[in-house]
Amino acid sequence: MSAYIIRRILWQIPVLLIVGMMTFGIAKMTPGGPFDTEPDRRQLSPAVEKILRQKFGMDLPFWRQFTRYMFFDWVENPKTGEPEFQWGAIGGNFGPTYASRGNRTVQQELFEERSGKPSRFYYSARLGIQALIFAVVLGIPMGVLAALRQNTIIDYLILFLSTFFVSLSTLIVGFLLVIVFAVNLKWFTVIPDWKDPIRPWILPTIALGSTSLGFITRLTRSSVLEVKRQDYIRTAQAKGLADQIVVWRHILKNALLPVVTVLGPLAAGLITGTLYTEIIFQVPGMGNLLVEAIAKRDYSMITSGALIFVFFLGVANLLVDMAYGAIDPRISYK
Amino acid sequence: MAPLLDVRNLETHFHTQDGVVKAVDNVSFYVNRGETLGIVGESGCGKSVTSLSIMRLIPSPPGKIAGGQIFFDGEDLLQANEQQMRHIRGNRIAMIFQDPMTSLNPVLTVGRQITESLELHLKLTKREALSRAGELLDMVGIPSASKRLDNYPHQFSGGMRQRVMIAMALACNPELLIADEPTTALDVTIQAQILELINRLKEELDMAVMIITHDLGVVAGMTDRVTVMYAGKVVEEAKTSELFENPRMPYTIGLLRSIPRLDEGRGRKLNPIRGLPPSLIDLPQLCPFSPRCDYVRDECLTKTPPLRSVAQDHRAACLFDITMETPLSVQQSEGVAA
Repeated sequence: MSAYIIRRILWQIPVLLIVGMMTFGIAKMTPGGPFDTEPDRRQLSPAVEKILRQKFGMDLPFWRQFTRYMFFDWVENPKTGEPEFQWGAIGGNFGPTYASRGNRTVQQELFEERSGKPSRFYYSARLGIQALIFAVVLGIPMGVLAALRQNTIIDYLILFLSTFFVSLSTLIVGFLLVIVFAVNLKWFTVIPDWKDPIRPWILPTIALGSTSLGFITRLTRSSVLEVKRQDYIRTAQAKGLADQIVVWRHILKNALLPVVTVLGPLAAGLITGTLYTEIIFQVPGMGNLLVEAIAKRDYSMITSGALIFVFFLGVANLLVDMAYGAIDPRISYK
Repeated sequence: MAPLLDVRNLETHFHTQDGVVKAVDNVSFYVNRGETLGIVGESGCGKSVTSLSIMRLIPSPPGKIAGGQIFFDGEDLLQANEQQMRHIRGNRIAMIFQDPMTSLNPVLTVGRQITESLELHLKLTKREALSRAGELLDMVGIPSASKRLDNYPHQFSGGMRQRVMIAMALACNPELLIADEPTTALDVTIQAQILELINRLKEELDMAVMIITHDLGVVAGMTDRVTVMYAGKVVEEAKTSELFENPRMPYTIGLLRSIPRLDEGRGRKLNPIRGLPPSLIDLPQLCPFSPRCDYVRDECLTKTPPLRSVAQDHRAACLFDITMETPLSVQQSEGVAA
């Protein structure tokens, strides 16, 4: 088992390298650069731009820029003029942000507290985890209930709601929530006060989790319906077991296998992909920053965003596979 | 002495979009204590629905037991409430199913699947139940039984799984064991072992067995009496030896003729019953077997033949006294030839 986990972790390395290289390459190939300004505004003087390009190593060949970002390089210290060893992404240094003209690094932007406020990563991760919990804790019982009451009014109601959430997307559910609960009912403020530990989180959690909620509900429902008509459920009933025991002991464990499988990618997506929710509810998270980074050709920020996403996807998938092995005895990892 | 199980005029219907399927249509039979009854018929004739009706495990909707009585030890199961039924299922009437590959829960150990009925019906503690489960696995011939309690179904072969199913069914010493095609999904060599096992345990535990099958060889080797079903109805019933020597219903005769024999010449063609069983929706008032019958006459198309006594303890649902010796009508054999 531990050998399996170590192998899975080692496999992450080539995946991260390839994703890093492709993202970095595509970002570099995109026309435009970090120091361009709109045509009607004052342009950077060619001399200044040249200095900046030198400072960020943009005059170096592509492979050298990439290895500097990804692995390490010797960079000239501006004070002493001596070359100095410097780690890249593998050492936890994700490089300077071009937008700040190199005053701040990517890791500072994403992971450091800003004047008493938690980091951007904290906002995104907390929101994602809350949304996942919301979707799982509500979705699984709703799916089970709908399946056990198939073709009753309860089933139709749950099916309607979950289909509604799946089809609407975070964007529309988010605005609906703001209009109904913040503007009309005034239960929440439209401009969030992030000093409050709970209140501002509620609406964005629901908005972000709604699609996953609908998805998990529908998946659980169909999975329970599938398991319900298996031969071994009839065997369990033929033993004289009460309905609740049949559901808890015999149906649920089997029915949750496909649900657990989708939780991995779902979790990674929720933690890193919170853009719409962050915009609608003005959450100071990573999503907004990463999208802006693309517009600003902030190469190190773009690549770091991709690496972080892939990293979480890998971790989530590994956790899911381990949970899978724990639930299903037919699966063993060697 | 009153029979252990007495099914009277059982009607089980399924409501489908195309109409009402009378899967079990006015079926009566009985099983005495310590006796083995065989229920024979081809796929879809209502054998399994009959057994699920006795257990009251017909999926509803679409299924519904529309009429009749099922007396078990003097008590009408169709009048029992769900709690009383749960006390009977797995405890006094146990069932084993056709496909051992799918009838065991893949995510629970076989030990757990056996102990759950011991804990439920016999109120054993976890430890007592576990040691009893080990004995049961040993009884059905699983080697190093107590070590295999922690194994999962996928770690057993098909024959071993059917043994586990039998151990599970016999956990609470049931008075009646319903075996629904217990050997259909198994290799021929394993089939014989499983049947032998059921026979041995029936003697040891003194229970009645109702064995449902389409295999006349199983019936001949295992049963005391046979009930033949066709299109949801009982069409013949007799003692096993009587039925094989003197079948009186053309369907039974066709079944017996269709068995290939080792002592007949090479190159002889098989003798199938031609045609397919009728759809069970809106059966017209005629003999349901008439379209396939080699002896069909005009009267067969006018009414559904009732079960009538044709010999001592032998009843058949045919209007005419037909036996193995009855010659085929000329017209009919031409029809076959054409």
